[in-house]
Amino acid sequence: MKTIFKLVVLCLAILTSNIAIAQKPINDWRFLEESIQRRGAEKVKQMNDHISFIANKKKAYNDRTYHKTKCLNLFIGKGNEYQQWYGSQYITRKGVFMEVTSLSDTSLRRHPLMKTYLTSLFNLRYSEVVIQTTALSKMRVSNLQHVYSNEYTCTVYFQQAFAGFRDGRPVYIDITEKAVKCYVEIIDGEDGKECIVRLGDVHATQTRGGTLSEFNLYEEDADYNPTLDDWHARQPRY
Amino acid sequence: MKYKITLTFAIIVFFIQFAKAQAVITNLLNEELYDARVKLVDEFFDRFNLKELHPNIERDSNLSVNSILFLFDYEYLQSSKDSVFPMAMKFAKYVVSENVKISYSDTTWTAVAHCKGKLKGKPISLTLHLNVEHRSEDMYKWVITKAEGDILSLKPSFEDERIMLMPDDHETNFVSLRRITTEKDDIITNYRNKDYKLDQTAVFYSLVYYGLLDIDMVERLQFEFHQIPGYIFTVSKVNRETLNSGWLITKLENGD
Repeated sequence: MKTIFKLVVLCLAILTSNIAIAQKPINDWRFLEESIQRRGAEKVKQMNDHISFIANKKKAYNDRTYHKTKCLNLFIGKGNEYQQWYGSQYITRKGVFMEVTSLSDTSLRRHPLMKTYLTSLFNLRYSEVVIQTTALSKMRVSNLQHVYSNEYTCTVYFQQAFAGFRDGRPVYIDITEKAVKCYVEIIDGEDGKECIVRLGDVHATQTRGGTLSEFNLYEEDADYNPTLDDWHARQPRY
Repeated sequence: MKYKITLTFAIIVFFIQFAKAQAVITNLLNEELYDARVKLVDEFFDRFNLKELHPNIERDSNLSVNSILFLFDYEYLQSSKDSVFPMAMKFAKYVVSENVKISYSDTTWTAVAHCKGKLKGKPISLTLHLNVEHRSEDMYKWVITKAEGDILSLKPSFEDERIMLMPDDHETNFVSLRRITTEKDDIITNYRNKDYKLDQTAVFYSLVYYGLLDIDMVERLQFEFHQIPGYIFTVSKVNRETLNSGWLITKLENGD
């Protein structure tokens, strides 16, 4: 009983400390960039979680629809066409799109709107779909680029494994690496600077099959001046 | 009773299949490969400038030189030309000894985007060269510096010495200009000044401006770096399931 009580207290302490960190105002530029990068990765993680839920045929249709709406809310324009103001007039921008490739033809790319892509996840022709993505802590975020006044951009990179099953057997597998554009707006909040992150276009940069190979590291010589043959002998086997 | 047993068995089989499915996917995302991969161009910069290292590199006295060499596409290093590896070694040693760094804000690196698109609905290919341009303060942007491609060369469908504006056309108010732009458009460059060098970039801008040309996708993207005195190197995306993958140096040449 005492152990359970201690565990509960520990969990509560962890939870409340995380909430405190999330609400901490950002006033120091040194930490601002890291915070923005982290927020961008968190938004992408949310996107991936929603996508996994939507593709899961075991979930109720209404729940999947709810997650589709929540996912679209992460994007600029909420996935719809939107107006972008440029000081003297608006330009109408098409909705955010998801660049999609397939194993059968990697030079062919489709650019469905994000709304259309999310809808297509409802009707995948597999009895079961499993999607896994890079952990939040491992997502790679590019350097922050200042674009205008209080606006910035960055790109979040991650990998996604997708497997479609029929009768318990994987009939389609791919690994895709994706880069998600993030648009960041820094605003003055009550307790300091805060950032609003909206996601933009998602680019799939490569699709490949789920086969892996071994890599052997080479050992170093004391006098480092290897010939090409030496280098050959020590390089990874493909 | 029988029904309950069958149902229980079906549920067990279902969850076993699901567990197998999860196990398959768990094996597909390999963390070691992910960490080793040069995932973003920013990451290439960081590894080149020795701010970050390949996770599997030996931490010894040759660390810096090896870090640069690890940024080469291994298959390029072992290509048929034996001069590549010694040149790469010389390059790596030079970069380390001179403490050369590359920066996003340099004007001496170029993105080369090989594009596929449509001209009036028909598929075409073209290449765009882009450079980073400073705007103000800490803000930059990419700008198009050159466009090139067969469809931008405006090569006439045929040439003949007699295709010309007549020497006395000035007497008829150059009514011939109406003819050359309404009768057969694709020989228009036959009427140019003999010394005129066609600006393919201007052609690109004109075609897009008038809604005739769309780019569908960037099929292949490369970056050319001219920052290292005496060398030009090209970085491309190399996709492999090994610890040598991602944005890597795929070509190294002697430069000015």
